[in-house]
Formats: sequence, C-alpha cells, structure tokens
Amino acid sequence: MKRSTAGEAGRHASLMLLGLWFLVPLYLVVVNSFKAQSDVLLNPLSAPVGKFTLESYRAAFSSPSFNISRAYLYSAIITVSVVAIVLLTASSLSYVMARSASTWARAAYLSILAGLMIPPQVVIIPAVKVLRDLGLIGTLPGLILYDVATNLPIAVFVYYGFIQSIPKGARRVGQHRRCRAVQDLLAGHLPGDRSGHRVDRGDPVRVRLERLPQSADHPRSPRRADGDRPAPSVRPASTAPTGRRSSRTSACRQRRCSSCS
Amino acid sequence: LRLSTARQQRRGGRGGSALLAAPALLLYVGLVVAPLFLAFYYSLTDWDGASATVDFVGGDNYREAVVDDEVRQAFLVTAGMAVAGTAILNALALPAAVLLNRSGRVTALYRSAVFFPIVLSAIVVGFIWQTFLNTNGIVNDLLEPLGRGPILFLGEGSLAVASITMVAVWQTFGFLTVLYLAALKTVPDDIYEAARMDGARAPAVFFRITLPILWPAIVGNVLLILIFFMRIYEYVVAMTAGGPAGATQTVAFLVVKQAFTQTRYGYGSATAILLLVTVFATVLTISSLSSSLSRRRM
Repeated sequence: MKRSTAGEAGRHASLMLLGLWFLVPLYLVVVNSFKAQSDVLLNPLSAPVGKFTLESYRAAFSSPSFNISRAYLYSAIITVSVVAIVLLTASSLSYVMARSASTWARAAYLSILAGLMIPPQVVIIPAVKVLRDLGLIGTLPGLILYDVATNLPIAVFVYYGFIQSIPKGARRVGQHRRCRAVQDLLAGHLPGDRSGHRVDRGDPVRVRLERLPQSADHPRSPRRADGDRPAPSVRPASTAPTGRRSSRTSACRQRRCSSCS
Repeated sequence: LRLSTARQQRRGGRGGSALLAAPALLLYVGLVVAPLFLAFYYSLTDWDGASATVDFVGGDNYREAVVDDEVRQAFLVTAGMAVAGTAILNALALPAAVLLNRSGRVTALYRSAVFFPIVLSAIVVGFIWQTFLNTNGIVNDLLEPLGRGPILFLGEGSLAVASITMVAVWQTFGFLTVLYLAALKTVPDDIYEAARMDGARAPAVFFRITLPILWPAIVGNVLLILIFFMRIYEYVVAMTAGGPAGATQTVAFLVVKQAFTQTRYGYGSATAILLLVTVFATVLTISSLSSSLSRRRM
C-alpha cells in the first residue's frame, strides 16, 4: 500500500467534504440561534457580528405555551432513570444468560435479540393498553418503564457479548476476584457454569471465570443487600476455613477492591 | 466435601440467577413480548382502543390492509427508503471508515465531525432539516440566485421521500462509520504489511483484503441499517407529517396514524403485524443468502 502525496491529498479532500456535510448544518443552527429573525432571513450564513442577540433563547425559555425548563427536567429524569435501570437490569440478565448453558437461557437470549427487529410501533399500541391497565399511562414511571423495556435488547446484546469475552483475561480477573466480598456476592449464582480455574497462589480456590472486571455497572450492585448473601453459618465450616478468608481479605486490601468494606 | 459445597452453591444459585434475571425479563415480557401477542390478537378484532367491547373479526383487517392503497403506498415508500438509504449509507460509510482508520489529530477532528449527529435525537434532527429544506428555508435561500424558484424539497412527493432518506442517512452515517471502524480494527496489520511488501496498491488492498475480511460485518451492518430504515418514523413526523397527500407516510407512521388518530387499534395492529412479518422475512432472507454465498465461495 503506497501512500502517494496525491492519494493523501485526495483523502483529506474527501474527508473535508464529508466533514462539511456534517458541520455546516451545525454551524447554521448555532449561528442563527444568536440572530434576530429578520437577520436570519437576510443573511443566514454570516456570523452574528454586531447583531448578536439572545432574544431567541429568552423567547424559548419564557414561552407561555411550552415550559422548556420543565421539559429539560423531565428529559433529564427520564434519561438518568432509563440509563440506570437498563444498565442494572440488562447487565444482570445478560450475566445469567451468558453463564448458563441451559436451553431456557439460550431461548431467552434469542427472543430478546429478536426484539432488536421489532419496530416500536408494533408493540406501542398494546403497550399503551398494558400501561393503562397498570395505571401508569401518562406518568413518568410508565414512560420510563416502556423506554427501559424497548432499550433492553440492544443493551443485552452488547453485555452478552462482553461477558462471554471475559474468560480471555481469566487469570488476572480470577486473581482480582480473590476478594472475599465479591466472591460471596457472586458465589453460586450461576448454576450452569461448570468452568473452574485454580489460582496457583494460596488455597486451591475455585475461581469462576464469570467474575466481572472492574466495570462500574456490573451486576453485583443489586446483590449488595446483606440478605442476599449466602449466610456464612449455613456453609459447612470445613469448606470455608478462616485462614482462607483472612488471606483473601488481605489480597483485597492490597488491590484496593472497592467492594470490600 | 467439595460436592456438598457445589450442591449448596447450586441450590442458592437458582434463586440468585432468578433474582438477577427477573427485573429485566419481567419488563421485557410485560412491555414487549406480551404486547406483541396482544398486537396479534387485536389485529383480529375491530377494537377502537377505548370501548369495553372487543369484537373478533377474524382476518378482515388483513384482507382490508392488503387491498388498501394507503397501506400499499406506505410499504412502497418504506421499501424505497430502506433500499436506497441502506445502499447509500453503506456505500459511503465503509470508504469513510477506511479513510478514518488512522491515528492523528486531524483524523480525530474528521471523526468527531462525522460522529456528532449521533448524539442528537432523531426528532430534533428532523426539525432542524425541516427548517433548512422548506420553501423559505436556508437551502432555497442559497439556491435563489440560480433563479429557478423555490424547490419543494418537502412539498413534492418523491422529492420529499428523498429528503427524508437523506436526513436519515445524515444522522446514521456516524454510527455506521463507528461500526465499520470497529470491524476494520479486527483486520490484522501483518496482512497489510505483506500486501505492501508485494507492492499492492490501495484499491487492490481494499478489494482483495479489506472487503473479503469485512464481509460478515458488512452483512450485519446492512441488516442493521435495513431494520433501522424499515421502522423509520420520527423524521417523517418532524419533516412532513406524512404529507404531501400521504406521499411520505411510512408504515410505522401509518400504524400510529391508524391506531391513534383514526382510533382503529385493530386495523393499526394488523398493519403493524404485516410490518413485523416483512422485517423478519427480510432479515431471514438476507442472512441465509449471505451464508449460502460465503459457503459457495469457500
């Protein structure tokens, strides 16, 4: 592959043309938002030199017909809630499905993937009815739940692939996961998973590959509650010697694992 | 000893998995899967969306939809947008990704220019372009010196369809380019190295190396964009509201109009199910075609 100067020039020319196609509309929107309407009509392309005005912004924010600040607040509430709920629920679901070998998990994954193909308009009519029956129509929670449900497929698609790719870094992740708390939180949640690795340092601990890397949104979050952990007393004392626990907590401390408090 | 632990873990594990999976599954089943089946059920009724009585009418809605000119027109418009949009988008985004697949500050600048429309919402983009393209919009202002009078970008049937397709391409371009860039990163560098050693020129490298390796990614992206265009809705709402005279009504737009404006939930559901079947059939056809094609090549 020879990189001639002519080729380079051609590359820059086409990329610049492409960039203009995207940037000129942006420029026009920004520039004209600072002009008076008459000025927009007279010289739409020029920068608002000397005629700079914030009148359009003032009008937008004080419009009696539409409360734009409240709209921004609603958008913010919806966005934050939907993203938070999608990350939490989609990651935990993908985690279970990606680690389970059962036919059910596979079927669930495929049916959720099929959701990527469903045009929203197909489900919106009955979804309105479902939400109305639940008394959620016309409310923020209703809208948020609907948005979460329709955005789950793409999130699950991404998470599923991501979680399946984790075993590549098994050794490192496994060592990191000698952290006691995380192990307890995630231990035994994955019945289908039979792949175990031994970590050569310390006790022959079965370290499962599914332990996630240090991503902020992995599914341990909803498992935080103490009631969800397997009670230590239920576990036979012989399988969890105290020596191992202390060695793990020290490993934790070394690695500043945020999950152990 | 270990066995007992495993059994215990398994027992605790069932509940754990269920707890982890439940919220997402419940939401998905409640607001996507159940509505999907409900949509099919309603498509066999004449429900108006409000009344308590739901009359079962069998296949009447489907029989009506098949001969309804408005439905046929909507399917044609959607198909036209989908085919043209997918072709243009992929034909532009792949070369762009090849050109952008390099490091450097200038390239980063180009990249951000291409990517930024992704962060805008479709409805906002639609309204922005609507103000640009209408009869006294900025585009016609600029074309005025040519002295041909205003061009009805949004007021003339086929031109309006083309305008909407162009705007959808404009916004989706960056997203597709990202996907192609990601695919390009998987092509090993040493293959290019070897090609350079052999004195291959850029076009030969692209057609003999990049394109064959990227083939699966291309098929996947074509499918993705096809599906995106087949459910196109927001741009129509923002730019033409289906006009002029229903010339830019896409199927998704028509479904909403039938169900909520004309309060014919049953009929709208039937049109929606037809759309769903079309999407599934298209995806299945293309993916099986591409797999048989790649099998033959091997």
